Amino acid sequence: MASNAATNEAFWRFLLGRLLIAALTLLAVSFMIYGLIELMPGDYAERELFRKYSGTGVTITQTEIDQVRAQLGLDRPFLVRYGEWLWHVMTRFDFGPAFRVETSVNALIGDKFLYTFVLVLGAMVFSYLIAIPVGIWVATRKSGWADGVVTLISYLGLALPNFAIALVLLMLNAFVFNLDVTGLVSQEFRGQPFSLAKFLDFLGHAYIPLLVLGWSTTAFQLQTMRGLMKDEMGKLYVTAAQARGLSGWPMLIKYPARHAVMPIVSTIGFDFSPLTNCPLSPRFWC
Amino acid sequence: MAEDSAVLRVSNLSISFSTDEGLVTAVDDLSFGLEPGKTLGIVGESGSGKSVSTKSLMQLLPSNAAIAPNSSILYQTKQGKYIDIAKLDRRSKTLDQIRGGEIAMIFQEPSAAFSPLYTIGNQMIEGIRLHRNVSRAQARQQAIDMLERVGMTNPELRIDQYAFQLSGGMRQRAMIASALVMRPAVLIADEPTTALDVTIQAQILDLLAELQNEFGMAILFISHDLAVISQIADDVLVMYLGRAMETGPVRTIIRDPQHPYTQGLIKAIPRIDRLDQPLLPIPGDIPSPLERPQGCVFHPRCPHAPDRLRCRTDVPVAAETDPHHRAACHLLDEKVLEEVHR
Repeated sequence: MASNAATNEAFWRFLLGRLLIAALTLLAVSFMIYGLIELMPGDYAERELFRKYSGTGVTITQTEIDQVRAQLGLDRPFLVRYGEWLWHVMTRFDFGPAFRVETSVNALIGDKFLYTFVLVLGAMVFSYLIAIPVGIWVATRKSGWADGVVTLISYLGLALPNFAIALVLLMLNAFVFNLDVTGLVSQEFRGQPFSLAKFLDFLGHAYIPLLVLGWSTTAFQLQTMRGLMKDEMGKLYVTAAQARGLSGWPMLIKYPARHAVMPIVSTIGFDFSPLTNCPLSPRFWC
Repeated sequence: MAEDSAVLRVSNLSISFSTDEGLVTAVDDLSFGLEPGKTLGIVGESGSGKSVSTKSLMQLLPSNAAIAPNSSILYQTKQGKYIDIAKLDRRSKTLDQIRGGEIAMIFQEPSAAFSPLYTIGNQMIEGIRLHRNVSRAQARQQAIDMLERVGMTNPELRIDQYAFQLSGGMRQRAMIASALVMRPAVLIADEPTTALDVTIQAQILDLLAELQNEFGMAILFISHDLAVISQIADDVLVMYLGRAMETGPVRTIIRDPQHPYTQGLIKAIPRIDRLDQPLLPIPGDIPSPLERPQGCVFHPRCPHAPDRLRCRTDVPVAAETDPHHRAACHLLDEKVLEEVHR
């Protein structure tokens, strides 16, 4: 199977190339953002002093500003500062201090990143677990009630704004089911270090954001899957597979679904970013 | 029925499609038999219902197609059991066993009939293991042997290649191998040479004839090309708008066609001894399936119809002109009458 080995090698080379390009892109983006902020007039030293003395009537002198600037290392050239920041990120995964709230960026992101990540990942797994099989199933039905119901639910998910769904669910849970809806973990776990019990408690609370985050994504992917499946089902290789005696779900999964799922797989990345950037996520941070 | 030797006997097959524009009749009251080891050629223009009728033999029609309840597709299995395929449920196990194992199919476009996601070997082995209780390695060996048998160079290498890596002729050989590796009793060949150039076409036709001699399967060969049919078929069925116009042994059909449609088809074949004469196409086009002509379906294009009222009103019944040679045309009654008067 020499050709298989060659195919594998080509695959890994492609993957490696892509990862390299991704790393270079991140580097370029970080440099551009750093540069854009540098282009803005004023720096953090001025802001820090303004914040400290605003409303007190104290006059800030240039010497004081220069002093703070030297303290924070802001007087060094742009490239040196960028280089130092990059070096710390790469070697220690340290994004530096967050001046405005007087802590570090790492502390600010902290375990909120973990919660967001688990929520986003959960929402995506949930979406795909529903969208792909239901999409396949609906595509194989002749237009009928199943198609109608699924399409209705899909369009509801696409049409209802996320915040509206969130508010309704919040209200239902608070007033109808009398559940605690104020955070992603129950009172007793708040501020506690991470533990299995806390994680399980989190999962018990997570279904609301999962539903809110996942519904529209699911709807979109389901309709995509359904449409692609319908196209693929008419292809000759499907007829040929049936003519060999393959039928039912094994046939659907091996042939049309495998073909239809490709555009969905290649857009997973597009789903990841809006879910991560979803303005809702911060409301569930604890 | 006297001719119980047929491995496949289709009687009164009618197929209609429900579309947005209404019910479309694709095949209308078609009957034919397929003898073991023989080749039946089905010839007709595109839209004549050739493909639809053969796809129905394996219930491969799309879900909006319906086989009329009085149709029967009687198939005699390798074990000698009779099964009416027309009455089988789409999801029945028997159907899966017949598909590929008893009746196999090769297609016009092998590039589209193989999925580009899997190697040829993968798709062949899948078929073998659906019908035979063999290990993956055994199935692979059987696939390699069959690829070699159909004239594939380097079968051990080719089996791990994808259809798009092969040439058109090799791809069709792979298709034939994947159909014949299950040793079907019936092979349906749906225009298998149409997408190939003439030299490769001749090679594939020779190969099919050779494999038929070796394995003894019956072949149902569909083509729009009467010249190809005359090379490979023992019997011919001429179809037009879903109806059988004429059926009989290939020699009599070519030399002495009885139906005006068959006569037109034969006149339309370019001939090397008449290079100076223009080609004679059959006038007109196949009408839209939504506007099926009344009476004889061929009458709007038939040179004899304008002066005969019943061509426009009555559906002609197939009449035997010679033993085994039947044609459905009102002109034939007139000939018989003439002979009686004489």
